[in-house]
Amino acid sequence: MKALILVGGYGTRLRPLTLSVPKPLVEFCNKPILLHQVEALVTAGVDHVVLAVSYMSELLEREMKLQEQRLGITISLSHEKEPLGTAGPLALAQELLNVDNEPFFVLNSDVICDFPFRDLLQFHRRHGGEGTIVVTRVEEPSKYGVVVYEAESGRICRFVEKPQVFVSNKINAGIYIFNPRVLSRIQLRPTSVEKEIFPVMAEEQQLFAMELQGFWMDIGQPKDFLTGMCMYLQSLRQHSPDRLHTAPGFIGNVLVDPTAVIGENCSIGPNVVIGAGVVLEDGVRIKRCTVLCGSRLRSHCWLDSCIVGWSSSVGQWVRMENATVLGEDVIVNDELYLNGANVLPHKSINESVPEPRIIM
Amino acid sequence: MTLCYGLVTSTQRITCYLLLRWSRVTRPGRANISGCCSREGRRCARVLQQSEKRSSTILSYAATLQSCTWLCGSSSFQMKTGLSSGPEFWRSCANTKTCSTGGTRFRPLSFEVPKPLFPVAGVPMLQHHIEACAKVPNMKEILLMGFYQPNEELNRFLLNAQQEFKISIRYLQEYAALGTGGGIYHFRDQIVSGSPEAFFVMNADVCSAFPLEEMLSFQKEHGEPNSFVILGTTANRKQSMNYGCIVENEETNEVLHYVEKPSTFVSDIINCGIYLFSPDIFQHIGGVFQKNQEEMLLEESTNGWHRAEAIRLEQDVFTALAGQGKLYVYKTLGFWSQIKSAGSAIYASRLYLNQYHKTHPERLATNKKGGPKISGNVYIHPTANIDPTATLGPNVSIGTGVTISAGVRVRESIVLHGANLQDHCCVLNSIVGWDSTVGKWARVEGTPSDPNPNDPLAKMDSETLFREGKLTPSITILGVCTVLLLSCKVCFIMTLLRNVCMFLIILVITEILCPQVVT
Repeated sequence: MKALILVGGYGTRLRPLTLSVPKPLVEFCNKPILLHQVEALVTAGVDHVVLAVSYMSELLEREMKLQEQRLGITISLSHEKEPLGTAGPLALAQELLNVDNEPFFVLNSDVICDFPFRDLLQFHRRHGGEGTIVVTRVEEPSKYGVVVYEAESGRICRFVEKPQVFVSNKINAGIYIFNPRVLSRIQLRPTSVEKEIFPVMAEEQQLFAMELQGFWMDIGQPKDFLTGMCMYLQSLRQHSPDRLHTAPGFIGNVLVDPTAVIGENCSIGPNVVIGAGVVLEDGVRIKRCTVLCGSRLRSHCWLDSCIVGWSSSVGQWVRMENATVLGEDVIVNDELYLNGANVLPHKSINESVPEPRIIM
Repeated sequence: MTLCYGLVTSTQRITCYLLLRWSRVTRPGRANISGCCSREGRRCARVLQQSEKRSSTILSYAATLQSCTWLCGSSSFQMKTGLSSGPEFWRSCANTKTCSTGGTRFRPLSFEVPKPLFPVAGVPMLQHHIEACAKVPNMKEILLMGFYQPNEELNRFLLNAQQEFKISIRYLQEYAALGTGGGIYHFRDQIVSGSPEAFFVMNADVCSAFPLEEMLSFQKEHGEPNSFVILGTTANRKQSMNYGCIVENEETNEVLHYVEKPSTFVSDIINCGIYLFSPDIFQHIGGVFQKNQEEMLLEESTNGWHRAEAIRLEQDVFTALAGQGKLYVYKTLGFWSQIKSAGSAIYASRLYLNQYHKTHPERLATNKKGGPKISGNVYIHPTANIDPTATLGPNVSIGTGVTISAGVRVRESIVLHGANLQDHCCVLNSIVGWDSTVGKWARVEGTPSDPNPNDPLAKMDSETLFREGKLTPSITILGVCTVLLLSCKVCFIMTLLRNVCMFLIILVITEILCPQVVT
């Protein structure tokens, strides 16, 4: 089986992290975002993953070569010269996808959930339509485009963009499975699969919806990245609690890489992810944070809702909160306060940032 | 008094009236009751006639008013110290201190102790004055004058200071706020008893190196022996207008012109609020008093709250003395600052701590094995309990019985007695009030309000707590008995306080981001 992942462009929403590393390789809960998806696809029987990228990155190519060997699959990069929207990449990768008349998966690269690929394939085969969309339930449907479908068969009736009155609370989760026939509907030009292809398929009664069980999050922005992290850790707690760290001083769901070093009198959690080679000195308080590889948090610092980029250093008695994101190799000097700061890579900070802003 | 009058409840007016009456009882012929002729005033008077109070009750009313005024901080509180000294040439010289303080600007700290007793660099603000006076050879006596009701704290301070400095110290309470000149004039008999040759008058709310002996020798060298000397210092052009400005004759240092807080630039030499007088000054103040009385007789329309005794040394006396060959200015290069707002106490503390290198090296903490890490100038009271993993300084004063736990960081702050700083907390540019608790990993941070460090002449801006309805970013102050604390789910306290000014009592604070007052 095959799968197409819509990786897209530079991942600007996840800056400053994506200034150093292509978005698919940013670690989410100690594993590159893309690998969460690829590994789930492999488990579901996919042996060829096509990445639709709009910019080429040596780092990504090299990493994908390694993963090809590790997972024993083929990973191709389909490079679009101009942005082709969400449908165009399918046309571009037509030759790769349309070889054996088998259905193929398509997914947005920002999405994190308990990927239901096996169930999706089963569901898709059973209804016999051209395509299936995974939908997820939201609390405030008026913010999104919602999907209206028949409860029993799952057949989609229509799509409503930002509904003013309640019609449905299910939205497109960015995970699809298509028969290769769908490719004939798409031309090689910038096209939106959601706006131009799906409505037509729904009208022809060829599109079905499957509701996602469990959590779902688009982790394309730092705030959502942290929310997604909390959800993922909670899911780990339910499905494989032994992967979470328990020790005195650890509170709630905490994921710690075995190579991390934790000092004395620290208080860690709930909802913390600590990457490889990270050093937490004595008396650190940290909650709802991701600390990426090779960073050092010095004594008595306090962090809440932050992402600490690779190889950064946070000084003593520093307080950071409110979705502060440090890029790669950032140094925060002692006793500072960062409130919602976005710090670009290789920056040394000497002054407090009391209000959210970008530090160039 | 006038400010009390500004508080418009009728009870306030009654108490004010009672005070007047009381003052007439004690000093017949001085108070002008008929001046109380507003409609409300007459009504109050009738109310009072109906319920004839005995004088003892009246006294207690007066006392109520004083404490109430003090709490409202609306009266210009006056406190004066007098000292006497007498080297061989001048048989004796008394020294008087005027401590004119608003009190409101010092909130919430002034709720607990009188401002002059607020600790700066580890000792009460006034003790720096007293130490300086005690060093002057043959200083005879120190008189403190104020409008405060004497309380236990003040009495204890006076007793301790007398023992420590082996000098007589007395507190003279004014019956009303009499202005900087009125106070010393009222107590002139006390000051001139023992016929001192000269005496100093100082405001309590200044912080200075107090070059008193230099002022004495300056007085000998310049002008006639009975001349008066003002301590002056140089300010920058813009800030000079917030102070009393002195124009001098550059050769003789005689004061040619004096103006208080001008609206345009007059001179960059400002009045430091420290004076050296000879008893002759009372003739000049007396002259103003006479003039005031005559004016009051002439002006029927006087509202009754104005009193002849209220005399401002600066506006009423210096302005008239300038250019008459009597008044001289001694310019000091030493440090000087006002202590008006609570924030300026941190700056004053820095100046005094720095001076301790010369005057009291024993008061400065040093890095010792098994002790906390000290950087820069730090005062730690011997009764404070500091964990060796804490880091303190620069410019930190730790009061009596303070507990500082593991991994605490304190910088540019004053921690008052009984406060408890728990593990890993960080206190920057703040004043932590009596018996406050700062929770684990809490951050208490203020905005430094020091004068511009790049301008050697810059002074502390006499900032107010509020500007345009907003709290001005300044030092964070945790008021009396403030408790920041606990009961977080995981029992860790991660409070953040920035630029907070807290007014009172037993508060549990969680998180405050922007400048605000918490009551």
